[in-house]
Amino acid sequence: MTRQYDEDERGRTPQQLRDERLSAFLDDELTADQRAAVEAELAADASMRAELEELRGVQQMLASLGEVRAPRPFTLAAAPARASMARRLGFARLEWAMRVGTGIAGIAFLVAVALPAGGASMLAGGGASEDAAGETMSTMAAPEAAGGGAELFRGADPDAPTSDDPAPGGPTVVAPSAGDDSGGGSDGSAGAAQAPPNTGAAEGADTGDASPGDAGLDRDPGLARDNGSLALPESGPPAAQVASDGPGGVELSLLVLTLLLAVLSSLPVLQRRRLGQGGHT
Amino acid sequence: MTKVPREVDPAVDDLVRRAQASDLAAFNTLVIRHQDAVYSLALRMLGTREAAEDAAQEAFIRAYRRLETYRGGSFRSWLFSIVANLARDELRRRARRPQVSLDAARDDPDRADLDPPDTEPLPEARVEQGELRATLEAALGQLPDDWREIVVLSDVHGLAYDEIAHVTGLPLGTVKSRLSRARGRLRDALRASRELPGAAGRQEDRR
Repeated sequence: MTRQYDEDERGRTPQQLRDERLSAFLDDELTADQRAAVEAELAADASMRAELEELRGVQQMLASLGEVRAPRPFTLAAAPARASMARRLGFARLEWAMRVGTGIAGIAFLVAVALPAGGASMLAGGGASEDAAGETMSTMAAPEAAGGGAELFRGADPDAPTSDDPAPGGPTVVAPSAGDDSGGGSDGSAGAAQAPPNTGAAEGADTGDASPGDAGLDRDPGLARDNGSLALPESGPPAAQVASDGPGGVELSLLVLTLLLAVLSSLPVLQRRRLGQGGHT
Repeated sequence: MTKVPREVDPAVDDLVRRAQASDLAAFNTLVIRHQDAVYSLALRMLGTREAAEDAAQEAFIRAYRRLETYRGGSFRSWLFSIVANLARDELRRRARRPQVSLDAARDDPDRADLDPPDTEPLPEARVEQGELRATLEAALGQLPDDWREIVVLSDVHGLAYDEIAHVTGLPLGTVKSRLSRARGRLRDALRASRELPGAAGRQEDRR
């Protein structure tokens, strides 16, 4: 509820304070001392007695308004479901966010498991062009967790054709937080150097952007971990290699990404809740 | 005026316990007992019958769902806190997209049940009483929403300050001062109507 009157209440006039005492006197809500003081005031002041009677009249009239009869019975025909603890605590929307996060995790897990197993071959043809399309998307949305989610799928796609490559970039994806962002950067460029021919087409697609992976890591070393996991797929080739060589590593990285995504997606929800709560619960 | 004594009704407590154990009949007994009070508070806060009905029905549904959060004390106050919350939400929604002002609500024919018409011809004294009452109703409708809630809880329903504080979630001091100011404003309106004979009559004609 609005509390806009609280400030007025701090600067009350003597008249208002007197009204308040009389009002509380009427309601028998004064301490014995306060009550005695008001009684003494009343005994000495006829106008105050008149005011008290006037207030009493208002109160009696209000009381005479009384209760209104309900126009219909509000009895329940069937028992409504009892609220779950989570809902009562106001986590309904968080629940929703978590459900979405869980769904994404499930999809990500399926993609990670199914692709190395061979289902990936059907994606092989479109791999390069998809990569290029994803590239533009990632440059727009790279700092966002949502962008990371988009890359997550894209990064997993093009790995199919290069399933026999060694694993130089693997560790950087799974644990880019190792601390030295320069290491991550050099790994990334190393991966780019070993890019297989078909992903080279993707690299050519983003002309002018020399080595996106490096740029991404150097731009913001403070966010090395996030950039590492999010930006590495940005430089298509290393991501492809990484994904290809070790399904276990990819699964882990996808799970980490998904968890991050779930947490980040719930943040705005919580913020909205905080803003939305104007009054009592 | 003496306050209605605190409700400490062993029968109510027993009904609540049974309702908590999913006895719907016991809960409905509680509904029947309290529905006039719950509906009245909603009607005084919201001004229209339709909105009050919605709030009251929703309040009982919510009450059933949250029955396990009732921890003794006045069951009526507990119900009031639920319906008052719903009514406040509705008032906030209205404030965000203004539509029905309380003045407009006063012209709502549904609102007539706030002031049930007497069919018998009234003696002079009762005519005056009716005018005063109309004036009071009008002044009540023009109070700020949160003042009106407090004065209705106190003087129509007879709640003590600490119960009002519980229902509204406001500090005791705020309850005390707002109640006093609300009564003061109602007093001023009644004073004005006495000093300007006919003012109350015009109010009456409008209905």
